[in-house]
Amino acid sequence: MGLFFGKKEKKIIELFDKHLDAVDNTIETLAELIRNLDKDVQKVRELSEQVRNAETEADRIRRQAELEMYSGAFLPNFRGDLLGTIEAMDRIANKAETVADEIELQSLKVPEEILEDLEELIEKSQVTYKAVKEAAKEMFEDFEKANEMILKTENYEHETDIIERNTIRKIFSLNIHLAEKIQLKKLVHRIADISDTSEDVSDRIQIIIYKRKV
Amino acid sequence: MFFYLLPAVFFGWSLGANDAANIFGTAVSNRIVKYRIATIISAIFILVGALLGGAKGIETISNVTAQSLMSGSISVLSAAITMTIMTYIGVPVSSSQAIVGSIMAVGLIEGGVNWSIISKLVLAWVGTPIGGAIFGYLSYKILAIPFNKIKSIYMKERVVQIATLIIGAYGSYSLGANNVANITGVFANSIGVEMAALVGGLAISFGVLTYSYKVMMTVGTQIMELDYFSAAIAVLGESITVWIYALLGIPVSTSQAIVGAVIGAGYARGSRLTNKKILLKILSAWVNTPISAGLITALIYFIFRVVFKINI
Repeated sequence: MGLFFGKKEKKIIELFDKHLDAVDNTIETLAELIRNLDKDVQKVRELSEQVRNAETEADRIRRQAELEMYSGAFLPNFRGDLLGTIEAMDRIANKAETVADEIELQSLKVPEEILEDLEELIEKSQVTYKAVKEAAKEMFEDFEKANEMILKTENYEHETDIIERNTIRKIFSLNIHLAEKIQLKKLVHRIADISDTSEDVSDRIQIIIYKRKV
Repeated sequence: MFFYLLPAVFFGWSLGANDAANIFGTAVSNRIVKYRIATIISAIFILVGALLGGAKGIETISNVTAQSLMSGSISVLSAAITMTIMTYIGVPVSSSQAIVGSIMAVGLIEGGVNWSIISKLVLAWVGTPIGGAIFGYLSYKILAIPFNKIKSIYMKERVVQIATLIIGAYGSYSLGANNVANITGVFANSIGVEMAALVGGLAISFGVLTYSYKVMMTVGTQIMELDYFSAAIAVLGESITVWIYALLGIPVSTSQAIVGAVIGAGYARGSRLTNKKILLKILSAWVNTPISAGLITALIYFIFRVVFKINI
């Protein structure tokens, strides 16, 4: 299969994969940040900065890939599809950055009771992303496998939703101020957004595949 | 003699400039194939088609009525003028129908039209879009099976790209074999079938190489939004139709074949396109073109005879 790709196409697929990894890395760094929410402010600040840097790196690779894409690789209609997919994937990294900002800029205090829930939430979100990442990779190789991964993405997203709801329920049962509850609810929504956006991208990939069925 | 053949060169040139778009229009305007590559392939295979497969059509056209070099030249000139005028005022025309109208006019004036050939030709005109639709539909249904088995996007793209080139070459061959008779068929009795095929083929190829860009870019997006696979299939349906008529020695319109093929491929794909406007366009071309060409031929004949006192 590999032999079949042209030089330009190979280069773009390489950048595409690199971008997927960069987004993954952004989420991973965010997960690290959430695992350390009980640590001191300095640590949180440091990890937030790392999340931002990871997002910037993803942006850089995205731009490079986009530039390369219009050099004439692939047929024109797929270039648009691919561009759309990269942009959508990049939005996932942006979501991760937003979560880091949400935590760091407001010096968010997270009650101990929900720390574990947040960890679970970000981990499941990351699993959702990894599924859509796999689907995107398989788009070049094997439609059927890509379809399997799309289904998995949907399932994981559903599981994330359940964790999201339970966590919010728990937040509102805590004995804290309403303002804090709302603040935390927003944080939960933003983390789950990573999973939601991943699912949006998987829908996109599904359409790209459907379009090629004759 | 060269002077008499000039209208044919002009007619062939304009046919090539116009009809190459029926083969490569979609592919070029969608940048699946580069314009230069498309025209070179097209020019080569049109010439090959004319030389290897054009004889039968040329014989048909030369047998409609007895033609001298002069009357043949007038027929072709009239057909070319008809095409130019009609295209200019935006009425759809077909070179096959124009030349038949011109020849018929000559035959009617001189006496001696072979009506059995004429009726065969007219029947074939009706059969062209229908044939295009049938072959477009069948090609789609058959080739979709292996195409859907390809699992990777890039592989699909590559297959479409290569298929577009191969089908384009085949379509060009069919175009050359079928339509060369329109250009030089009337001269076959004077210059010989092989020479007629060579001159006609070269003229069409020349038109493709020098002036086909604009029409390709217009036609490519005109009929209906098609995916790359369906577009290639439509050209295949068109090519098979035109090729079969070349084997039978009946010049037909590639423009009408592609309209049928696009509808056929679209139908196979699930879009039910029955555009009355398109059908009306084809119908009117069947009637308008031969009549206008015939009238113009008669007019030129009249001018030559009465005004210039030339005996044709």
